[in-house]
Formats: sequence, C-alpha cells, structure tokens
Amino acid sequence: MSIRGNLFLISGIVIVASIVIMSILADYIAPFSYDEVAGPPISPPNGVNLMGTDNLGYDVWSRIVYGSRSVLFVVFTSIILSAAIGIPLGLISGYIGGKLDKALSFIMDSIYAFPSLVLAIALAVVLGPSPVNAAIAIAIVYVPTYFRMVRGQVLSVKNEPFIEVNRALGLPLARMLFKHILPHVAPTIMVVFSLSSTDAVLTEAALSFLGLSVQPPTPDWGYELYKGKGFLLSGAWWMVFFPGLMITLLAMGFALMSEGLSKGEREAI
Amino acid sequence: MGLARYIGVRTLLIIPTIMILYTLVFFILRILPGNPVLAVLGTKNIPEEQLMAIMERLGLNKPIHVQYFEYLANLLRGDMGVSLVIQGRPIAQDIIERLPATIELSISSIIVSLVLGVSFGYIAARRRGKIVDSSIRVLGSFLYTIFIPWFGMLLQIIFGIWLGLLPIGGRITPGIAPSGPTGFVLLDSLIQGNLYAFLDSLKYLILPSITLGIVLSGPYMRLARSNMIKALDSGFSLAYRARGVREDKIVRYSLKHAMIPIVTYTGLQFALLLGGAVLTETTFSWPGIGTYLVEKVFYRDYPAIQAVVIVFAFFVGLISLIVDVIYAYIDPRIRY
Amino acid sequence: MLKIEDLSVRYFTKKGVVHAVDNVSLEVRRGEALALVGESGSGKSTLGFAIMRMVPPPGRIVKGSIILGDRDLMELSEEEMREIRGSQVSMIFQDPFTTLDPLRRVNDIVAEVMIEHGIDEGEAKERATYLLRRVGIPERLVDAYPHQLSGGQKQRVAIAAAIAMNPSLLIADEPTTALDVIVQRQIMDLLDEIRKDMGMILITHDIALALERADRICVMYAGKVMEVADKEMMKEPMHPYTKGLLSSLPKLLSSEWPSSIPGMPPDLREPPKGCRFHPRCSEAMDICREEAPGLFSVDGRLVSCWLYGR
Repeated sequence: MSIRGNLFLISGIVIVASIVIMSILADYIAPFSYDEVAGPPISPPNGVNLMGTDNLGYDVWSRIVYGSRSVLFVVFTSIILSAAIGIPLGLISGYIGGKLDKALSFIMDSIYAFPSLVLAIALAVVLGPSPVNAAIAIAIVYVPTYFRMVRGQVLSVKNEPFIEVNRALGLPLARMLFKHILPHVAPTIMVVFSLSSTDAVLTEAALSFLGLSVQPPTPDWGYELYKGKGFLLSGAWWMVFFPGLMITLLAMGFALMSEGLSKGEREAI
Repeated sequence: MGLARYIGVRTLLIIPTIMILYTLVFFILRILPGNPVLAVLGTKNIPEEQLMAIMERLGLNKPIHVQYFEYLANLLRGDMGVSLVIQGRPIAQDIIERLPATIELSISSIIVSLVLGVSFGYIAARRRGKIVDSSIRVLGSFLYTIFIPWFGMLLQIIFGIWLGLLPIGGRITPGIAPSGPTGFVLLDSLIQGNLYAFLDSLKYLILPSITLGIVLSGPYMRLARSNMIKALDSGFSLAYRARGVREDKIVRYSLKHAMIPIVTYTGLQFALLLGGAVLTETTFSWPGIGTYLVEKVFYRDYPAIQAVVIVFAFFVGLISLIVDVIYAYIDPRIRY
Repeated sequence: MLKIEDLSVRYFTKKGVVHAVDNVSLEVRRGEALALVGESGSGKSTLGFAIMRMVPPPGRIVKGSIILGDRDLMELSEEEMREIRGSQVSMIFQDPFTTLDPLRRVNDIVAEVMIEHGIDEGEAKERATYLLRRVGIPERLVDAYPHQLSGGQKQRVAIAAAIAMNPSLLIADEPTTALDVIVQRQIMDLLDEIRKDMGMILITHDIALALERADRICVMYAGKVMEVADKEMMKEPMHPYTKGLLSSLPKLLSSEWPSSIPGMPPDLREPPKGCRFHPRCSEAMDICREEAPGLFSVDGRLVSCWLYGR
C-alpha cells in the first residue's frame, strides 16, 4: 500500500476510534451530564465550559460527548442493516441472473438514482421520528449501494473456472455463495463500508438537523445545530461551531479510511 | 442522426423512467407501517368511525391500485391533491410557486462548483506532480465531508453577523421583489429593468450558492484535472503543437474535452445536488422546494410530502435527459 | 537546406540519463527525401522531434545546432519557434486516429494552421477545402468530423494540414505504419506527389520502404549515425549494421531464410564504450571496443566504422 494510502487509512481509523472511545467512556470524559445545568445559558467558551453552554445552560462539550452515542448508534445500525440486506441480495441476484436479477437491479438502480437525503426524509417521516427509525430509513437508502457493488463483483468472478468446477460438482447454492464467492467480494465490501459510513454520518446529521432522529433532551450533533440555528443572531457561534465540527470530523474520518482502503485495493489489482 | 432527432428519441425514453420512479415512490410510501392520518393528527385516540370518515374523504381507503391510477390521472392534469394541514390548499400551486427559487439556487451552485472545480483542476493539471497538484487532489477528495448546514451557518456568522456584509436568510429584501412573469427573481428584475432588485437578490444568493457550490465542487476538481491532463497529453494536442497552434488555444481545446465527463457527472449527481439544496435552503431560509418539504415534514402533511418526492423524481429524470442532450451537442461522435 | 550539427538529446529520467541522440550531424538538401532508418530506440523519432524542438520532457537537447535555411533554430525563442512550426517545418505522425481532434471538423483543423500563421479566416477556410480535395478527401467529407473518416483519410487530412503553409521541410514519423498495406502505398504516393520541392525526412523502421521511396538514406543505431548514402549506393551497404539490416529482409524469390542480427540494442543509459554496435558486430576489432569512430567519407557516402577509416 502506498505511503499516502497508509497515512489516510491510519488517520481515518484514529479519528473514528477516538470518537468511538469517546462514546463508550462518555461518563468519564464528560464533565457534566447532558441535561444538567452547567452554567449560565448561552455563555461563550470559558474555563468551566470549554465549549460554552447552550440556551438551557447545558454544557456543549458534554452534549457533544454524549451525542456521539446517538450518532454512532444510528450510523452503525444503518450500515449493518444495509449490508445485511444488500450483500445477500447482491450475491444472489448476481449469481442467479435472469429475470430476478433484471428486476432487482432495476429497482435498486431507481432507488440509487433518487436523492438519498430526500428519500431518507420521506421514510423517516412516515416511520416516525426516532433514532431507530432514522437508522432504518438510512439503511433502506443505502441498500442499493451494497447491492450494486457486490453484484458487480459477483458478475466478474462468476465465470471463473474454479466456480464452474464447483458448479459441476453440484455444490449447494448457499455454500457456493458464502465459501467461494464472498471472499473475492470482501475487499470491495470494506471500501463500501467506509464510503457509505461517510454518507450515513452526513445523512444522520441531516435527519437530526431536521428533527427526524432523536428527540430532546437526548443529545445529537445534528440536533444541536438545529438548536443553534435559532441563536445565531445572538452571536452564540459556539453552539453551532463545535457540534458541526464533530460531524465533519467523523465524516472525514470515514472518508480517510475509504480513500486509504481504495488506494490499497487499487494497488493490489 | 442530427441533434433534433436525438433529442426526440431521448425524450421519449424518459417516460418509462419517470413512470418507474413514480411507482416506486408510490409504493414505498404506502408499504411502510404507520397510518398517515394518525401521523398528522398525532394521536391514537380518534374513534374508529371518525378515522374512517377522514380516510374516506382523502380517498385513502380505496384499494391500492385504484389509488395508484387515480393519483396518476390527477397528476397528469396537474392536480397534486390538497394539503392535509392547510385546509384545501392545492399542493401543485405551492410547488410551482416555490420551484423557481430552488432552480435558481441549484443553477448558481452548479456555476460555483464548475468555476471552482475547473479552475482548480486546471491549476493542478498544469502543475502536475507538484505540491499544489497533490493538495488540490486531496482537497477534491474530502470537500464533500463538510456538513452543509454547519458550513452555511459559519459563513452566516462570519459574513452576516460579524462582518455584516451579506444577509443571512431569505431571498430578497421584503417588498422589493418584482412580481414578474417567470418567478425567477433574477430574471424578472432584469426583464423589468429593476437593477436595484437584481443586485439585492444577488446579495441574498451569494452565501447559499457558495455554501452548496463549494461542498459539491470536489469531484469537479478531480474530473477537470484528470481529463485536462489526458487531453493535454493526447495525440491531438501534440499535433496541434506541431502545427504551431498557440498554447492557450490548445488549453481551451483541452477544456472542451474535459467538459464532456463534467457534464455527464453533473447529470448523474443531480440527485446529490437536490439533497444538498434541501439542507442549504433550510439553513438560509431560502423559500424553495427544500424548505417546503421540511415544513411539510414538520407538520406531517403527508400528501404534500408525497407530491414533493414525486416532483423530485421527475426532475431527476428531466436533468438526466438534459445532460444527455448537452453531451450530444458537445461530442459529435454521439449523434452521427 | 537543413543542417544538423553535432546534435545531442538526452532524457533525464528518474532511473538514469538516456543518451537518445549522440553527436548526430546530418544534412537535408532542398527538395530531397531523406529516410531516417533504425530500430526502436535508435533515436530516429527523437531526432525528428528535436528538429521541431518538441522533445518531450524529461528530454532535452543538450547541445548542437539545427540550421534551417540561414537560421539556427536553437537560438530562437519559444514563440519564434512556434511561428516556424507548421509554416516552415511540419510534422506528421504515426497514428492518425489520435492526432486529429475528434471534436472539430476536418476543414477547421486544416484551416486553423493557416489562421494561426496569419492568414485571414475566410481565405484559410477556402484553401483548406482546396487542400482536402487535393489530398483526395471527397467533397461530402470536407466538413466531417474525424471519426467519420477511415484511417487512410485521416492521414490525408494530417498531410493537408502539414503542407498548408508550404513548409520547406516535412518530417514524416512512420506515416504509414498504422495503416494497411494498400493504403500505405496510396499515402506514400500522395506524399511523393504533393511535396514538390519540399524537403522530407521520412522516419521509418522499414528499410525496404526507405529503399523504395527515399533519395538518400541515413541509418541510425543507438542514437548515432551509422551510414549515410544515396539509394543506389545503399543497396551495397558498407557498415556491418546496414548489411545486417538488409539481409534481414525476406527475399521473395529466394529460398534463403532472412538472417537476423544477434543480440539486443544497448541500454542507452550506459552506452557501450567505443563503437556502439561492437557487441553485436561480427567484424569488431580491438579499436572498435575502445574508441568511437567518427563519420568517414568514403566513395561519396558517410560511414561510421573503423573498417573504413583511420
């Protein structure tokens, strides 16, 4: 792997891991609880409140630390769901081909072509605002991404001689898919994981920015931005700057990982 | 074949695409659990008969395939139903009123992205291999991770509040808007010769388009760079030089070659642009379809949301058509 | 009319300095066709580019002069050189598929050469059409796009563009290699017919083509000139390398197998000491390994071989 690829991958992992650790050790890292009055409302960053306080006097830094939990929950849940649905579908569709493949591909392509955020919004509205539903909405939107990637890989591996041999030997479908085809598909999946995680972070933040994810007083970075918007005119920049920075940071962490991985994969090819 | 015939054929192809998107949207929104009426009314304690009555009135208790065709028939007549929340207000009218604002924002953001992307891509192509080049490539890869509302709000704080140079919300100073024929404030004010309104609305347009334009410009930078390099290195550039053609002309020709994939990309990623537009409009209180959607989401105005989603689907299809046509115009190999 | 003196071109790559052209001296007289013959890596193409001062980076002309008419091209600024390209010296390339801009009409491509050199646009367009017809492009294709033309037609367009300003020298770098045999003949015939009193440098690896079409032939190997002679004399070669080239031609009416020269061309980052051909030469002597021979003038031709000089 190239030096730059390595650098990207490692910095990405460091960033993401730090945030994961932050969410796990929230109770020890955050000086205050997320719904505890920690100072006068709307105070700028100071010695006690490193990132200031919000309109209810809650400590912004603490809310960021605890907020990482909601964010990471939604992001990881949606990615796992997406993959759990998209990967098997891609495997089956690509391998079996025929009408099933055509129909599925068509549906997936249509969803893929549609603005993901708008679709996620529509789904989240119908399901009702909550982190779980937000995760489901995001999951549905990204199923086509996994489907297409996996299907593409399956198609390119499908006609390799060793597959033909196994098919001639009468290997059962499930075993064929998982034992023989999946390993070839795995590297691509890693790249897609990190790539769609980036998107998922941004989509989750957007959904909570629009009030479609967590509900108060549970903290969530996107929601903090929504709150902060109302207080921009009072000059309370810290309510907006720090949560937004975290969102971009986490997204960038995943993006770094995906760039690092795809450079490595390109070289392996 | 000629350009005209290509356009005709391509337009016909759009119909099945839109039909499929319509079907998809229609069914996805109905398959999901949750009764839309209840979602609006927010309570589960409505007596059964009253609930049925409301659903009857809205036509929601008819068999699903009947609903499908009825809605489609209505759509073709331009009727998107009425708002659930604002009693009796036709949705289509709202959408038509809001559409020009979103289109204005989208176009100006694309312009910002193009200008930024092509100029940075050009600089990187010319200084290939140097630090400038690597920095631009890295920049291009990561620009999209910037959270749009965050970036927008920072710009609002800096330019709107601290420096007081630009307005932070809205489309034009209230009262100045020209009541023009097109609904596009920029165009209307030009048509009416109202320079003041034109400049004023331009002021409001700057921050939102820069916000969206910058975040989405990354891929343009990479595309412009790699395709310009390809063109500048190619055989025909060599031949141009051997014929004594000036270098700046050769660069212009390379740009034209680079535009092909850039135009294609714009069409493919229009969906991305729409999503970003929703966030940008919300951040800047820009009165377009994005804020309309968000408002309807807030009030759980189910029919309106459905209509907006369908409109978006239609536009995605339309843009892909326009892109293909522009592509055919630039690249003669497609149409002959 | 063209005099190259002591020209050296080197490529400064990350893996070493390649001595692509080493102390080459050459002359092209007015109206004559000189063939530059050699294998890949002999430096013939690089020499062609060097005359146009278009050696691609990391290459550079490190010394020598290129005298066209009465001016040394090495002393000109880039802008002055640009003026000369296309108007006094022209070049056509091997692959016609990649040397015509696919986004522009053929007539415009040819007209542009003239416009860039000061001709008025309307006149340029008319003359371009005339030139295209002259090289054999049918009327209906004059305003076509390159992809609508066949390979041979594309090359004709390239020729039309090259002669548009009546250059005194035309450099043709493997002009027919990418075309099929019948078209090759047509293109070579066209070149012969159309260049009138223009000088031409025909760069080719095909010695048979050179013998057929050129007035004089210059054989290059490993960046240096081995032998220069006119067509008739070249049929009785003196230099061992040239002899090897000629005997590697298949002979139609003989049952002899063509022979090949043993060995491989040298790595030009570290050219062999002495005569560059000595490792593969069946007649190598001690002096060949030590000292590089100059160009000896023998019986009206130039040979770079110790067999013929002191």
